[in-house]
Amino acid sequence: MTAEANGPEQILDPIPAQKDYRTRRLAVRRLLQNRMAILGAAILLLSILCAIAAPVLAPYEPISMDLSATFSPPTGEHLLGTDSFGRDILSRVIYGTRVSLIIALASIGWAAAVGIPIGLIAGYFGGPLGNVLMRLMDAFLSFPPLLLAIAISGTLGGGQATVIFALGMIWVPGFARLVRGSALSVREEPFVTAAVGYGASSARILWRHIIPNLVGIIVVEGTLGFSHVIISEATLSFLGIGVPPPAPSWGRDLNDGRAYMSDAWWLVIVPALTIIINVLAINFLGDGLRDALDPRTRKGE
Amino acid sequence: MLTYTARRLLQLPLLLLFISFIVFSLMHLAPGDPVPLMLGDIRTAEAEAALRHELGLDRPLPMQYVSWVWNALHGDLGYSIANKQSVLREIASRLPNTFTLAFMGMTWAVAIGIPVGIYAAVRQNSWVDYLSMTFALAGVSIPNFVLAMFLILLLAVRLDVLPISGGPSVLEDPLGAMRFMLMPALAIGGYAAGEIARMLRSSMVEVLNQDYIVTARGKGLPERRVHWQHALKNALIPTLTVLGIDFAYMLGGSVVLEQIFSLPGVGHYMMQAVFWRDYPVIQGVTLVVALVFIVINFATDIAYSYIDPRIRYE
Repeated sequence: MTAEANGPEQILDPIPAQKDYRTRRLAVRRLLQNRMAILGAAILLLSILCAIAAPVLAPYEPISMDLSATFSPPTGEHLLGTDSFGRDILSRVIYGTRVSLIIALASIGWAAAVGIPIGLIAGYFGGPLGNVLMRLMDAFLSFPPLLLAIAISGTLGGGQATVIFALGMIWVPGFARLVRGSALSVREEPFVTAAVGYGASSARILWRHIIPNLVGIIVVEGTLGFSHVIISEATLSFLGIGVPPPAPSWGRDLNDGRAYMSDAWWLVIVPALTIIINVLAINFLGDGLRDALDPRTRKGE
Repeated sequence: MLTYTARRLLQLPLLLLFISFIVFSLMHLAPGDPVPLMLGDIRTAEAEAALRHELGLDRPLPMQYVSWVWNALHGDLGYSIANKQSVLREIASRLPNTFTLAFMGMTWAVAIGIPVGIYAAVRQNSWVDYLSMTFALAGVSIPNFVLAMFLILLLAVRLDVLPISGGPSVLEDPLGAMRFMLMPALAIGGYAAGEIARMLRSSMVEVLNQDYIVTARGKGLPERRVHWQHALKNALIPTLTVLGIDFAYMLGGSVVLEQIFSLPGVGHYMMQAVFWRDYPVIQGVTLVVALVFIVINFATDIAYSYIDPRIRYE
């Protein structure tokens, strides 16, 4: 987040959101007071650590098979058991974190990189180009998102890049719509009128006045989007059109375990809980961020 | 009201055109065509060319797009590559199953979500509130297929009270089909149940702080009446939108659950087509579901503007 003050014109602004240093610090304090958000952030940090340090943390190679130790229940040797190929589940879950987080980050990243400019064009400049772009976004929003991802991923035939493309694609319109709506309202603020009045260029107004006011909602949308993308990626992998085997993936491991669930419960429970814990953590954080950045939606005090 | 509906209706054809364009472009993002797959082992260059010509795949893309849209407008979505059956007829026979699944999911989501949302708002910041909202967040955070796994483990593997997969079509045996859909419906409605509860709670909390509620309490109305008659009416409005969106989303989610439970719905058809690279089917299902999605959203918007007249003037 940009932490510097935005110049004197912010005083004119009536919206009590993350405008200046003081309100921003207030937002941080509100976030720190939210225990669930802190818990979510801690779990997310742990997952990021797992993703980065996977080779150090994982006791085994995620794809190395041990046919003498198939279907081992959780033991001292294999803390979370092994699968039908004797692969260590704990190691697969740790490496799977890497796959999930990279895909989620890249998808949201490219969705934001495309969606935010579209929203700014439509919201700040408007005009026929903005209009056509938004109608196109509306059309994308007319598909159930998961179906669109399945159609794209299914047509292009799986693989990490395809999954990122498909999952990012379904988040582009969300960012565009959100940014457009907010840009429209920020554009009418007195400090923007003032900036236009003293002759600031469009680029400067966007960079110094519009975008800093959108950071909050973009962060919230990005965080909540992150958890949705993790679910969608797991869904695609579960359906067999995500990241191809033998790469570890929470969704596909869950689907692989499905066949043996009556005898080897850990093959289902471990990936299932991993997905739930990660998604819950990110949602806790996202809810906390939303409450902290926008006092109006805060739970009643 | 009428002008608003008319204006929204007029936007539909343009939206549909954009949608058909997206669907068509998607199918042609991938290099190559289904011809080699269709011919299998007996493929020669001549046979491929002949089949391409027969399917119209040798024509320029814009021409193919126009004829696809033209045929779709006339109720012809082409034929499946895998089994040569009419795509539209197959979708029509499967759509009722998908709708039933989504409808069952929505029914229990509403039956749980609305009372929980109201109760949590009324008992704001009590332990009941925190507990319900934790459950609601869990509902939103547990992916439907993960929930399905837990349900199968519990209800089918451990307790053996519900069937795991298959089942008749609702068109043949409605009750039998619904028994098979019980578990997937529970799984598909989890998200909506959580979201409805969360949404209703927050709008209810907001409404309960408004002046007219203070007035209602001030004139001595019993709390029950204040909650159910005065507050709920206004608080339900945002929830109604969520309801429409969630129902539409369930059509996407049904792909996964129909696949897990082998239900004879549109989603299952779609997944088979994905594995066979059956382009006309993927194209047709995506188009039809998008159409249904639009109609539901449209109906929600109209209902919304009917309940809250302020919407129309935006």
